[in-house]
Amino acid sequence: MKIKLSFKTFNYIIIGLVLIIAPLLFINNYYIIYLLSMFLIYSILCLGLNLITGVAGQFCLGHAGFYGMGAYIAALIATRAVGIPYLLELLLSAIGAGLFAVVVAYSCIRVSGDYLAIITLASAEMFRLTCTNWESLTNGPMGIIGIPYPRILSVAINNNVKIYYLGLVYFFISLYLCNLILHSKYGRAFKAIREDEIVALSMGVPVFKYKVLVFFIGAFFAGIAGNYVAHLIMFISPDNFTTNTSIYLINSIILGGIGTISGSFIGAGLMLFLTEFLRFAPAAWRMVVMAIAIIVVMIKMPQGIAGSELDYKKWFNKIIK
Amino acid sequence: MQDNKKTTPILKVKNVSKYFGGIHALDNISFELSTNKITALIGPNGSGKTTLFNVITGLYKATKGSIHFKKRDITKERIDKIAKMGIGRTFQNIKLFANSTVLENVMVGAYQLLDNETFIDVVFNTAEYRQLEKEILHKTEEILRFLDLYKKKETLVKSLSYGDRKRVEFARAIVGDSKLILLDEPVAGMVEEEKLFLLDKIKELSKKNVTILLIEHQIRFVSELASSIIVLDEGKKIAEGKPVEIQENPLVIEAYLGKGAR
Repeated sequence: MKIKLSFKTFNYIIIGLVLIIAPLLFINNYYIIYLLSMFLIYSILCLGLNLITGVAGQFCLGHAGFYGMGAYIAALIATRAVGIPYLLELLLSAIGAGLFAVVVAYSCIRVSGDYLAIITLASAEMFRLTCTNWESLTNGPMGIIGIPYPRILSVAINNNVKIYYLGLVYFFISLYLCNLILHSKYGRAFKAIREDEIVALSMGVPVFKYKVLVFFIGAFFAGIAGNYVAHLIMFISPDNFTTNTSIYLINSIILGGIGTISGSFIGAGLMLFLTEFLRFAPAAWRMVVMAIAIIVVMIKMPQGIAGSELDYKKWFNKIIK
Repeated sequence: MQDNKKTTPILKVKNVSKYFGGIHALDNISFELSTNKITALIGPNGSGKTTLFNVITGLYKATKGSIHFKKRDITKERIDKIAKMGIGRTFQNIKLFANSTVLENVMVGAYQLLDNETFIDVVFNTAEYRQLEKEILHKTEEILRFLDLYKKKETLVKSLSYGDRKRVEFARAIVGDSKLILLDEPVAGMVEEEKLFLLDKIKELSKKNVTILLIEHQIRFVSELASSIIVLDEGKKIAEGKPVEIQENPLVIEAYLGKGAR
């Protein structure tokens, strides 16, 4: 029996297998497993941001704020409300981040483009400054330390490999959900809003409601990533959620492919690789290399790496023939 | 040519005016559209035809007057709600999603048919959701076949010819089962063969329980298609009647050709 394999499915199977096997090859290398876990976090963040900015066209420069909200909710519950089941804490992190995004979306619903970017950026900064200054709750700039490993029912996720696989589950679920949303009436409506709001309205799409909804969904994923990072590094502080993080994420989706699912994790992986590769280079050089990488991609592949899928498809088809 | 039997009006426009500051884009316009008929809206450039479309579809709110669709007052309704009630439209300047495929563009038009598809259904990938999506895909493909676009369904809209794009926009307007379709210059810029093709399709559509109001400049095209014509000039309705009557109406001739043409 001959199994017909599409290019897309083939890619996903390969990536899935690599992500499942990779930590087993580096089981004693804490650094590599940590990097792989960070890759999962950035991929989930980019998936959410790509829905907001890439698919629905809402230029968001405040994703770090939603990410931070998820992380702080997780940290506060895990350290101060011991006894709350981990899965409930995860849900609260995701919903909390989503609700924060709903407030932001409502406040900037009538603006778009640069103005929207500025308001979202300001909202993330407001969140960061609140965390810095509300010392009684967040311990201010010192951050929250001693966030324990999660425990799901009776299973303790108590080492770096286990927590990696927990992240991998979140990543696969996020990928699956994004794919479903993108191919549903919601995904089509989001794209319509990005292309032309008047046309979207004329087709019956309640644009206002959907803009708020896409912010909620994108931030929901950011909340999951935030919850995960808090348990992974066991310490969070406002410095983890600066504007740099938001810009880093925007760069990732531009490099990977704006508006595409695969572009989210391709971009996240590439940015992480570049950052780590250049870790010991002088800071100025790091910025120069990053900037050159983005400029090259924007000139040669304006739709990002995943956006230039067609050329790889030809190559793939030649090989399987 | 359409028959002249009296039928129930699907749309009632009563004393509608639209002012932009001191400019009277529409001035006291009234008319009714009979169910399942094709009506043409003609008039010189700047006479208010597209503004009237925008007021009917809710893009602009009427300064005065009222609009009733299927006996329901829609004068102050939101655009998306009006679309959901069953008014579809195309635009004078083609407004398609250039970086999406033909299929994706047309499927957006079926949005109002998916009221039962909830977000929870999507997230849990329920059987009901999958069935609805299958039905919508099937319906969209049917419309693409009807307009001879099926073979191009995976083509990006930006690489289509002008005539094909016009047809894609038409497909998007009709896929949602709207009962009233507003077509803003549907054949403008098309070659003769494409025009005749679309003309046939519009006629066919009107036989399927769909009422059509279209803006067109070419009186020959309009006379072949419409059972009645409404003529606007400088925001005012100057004539309404059968194509033969309109062609001989001195006010219409004057509006198009200027004073002294009579």
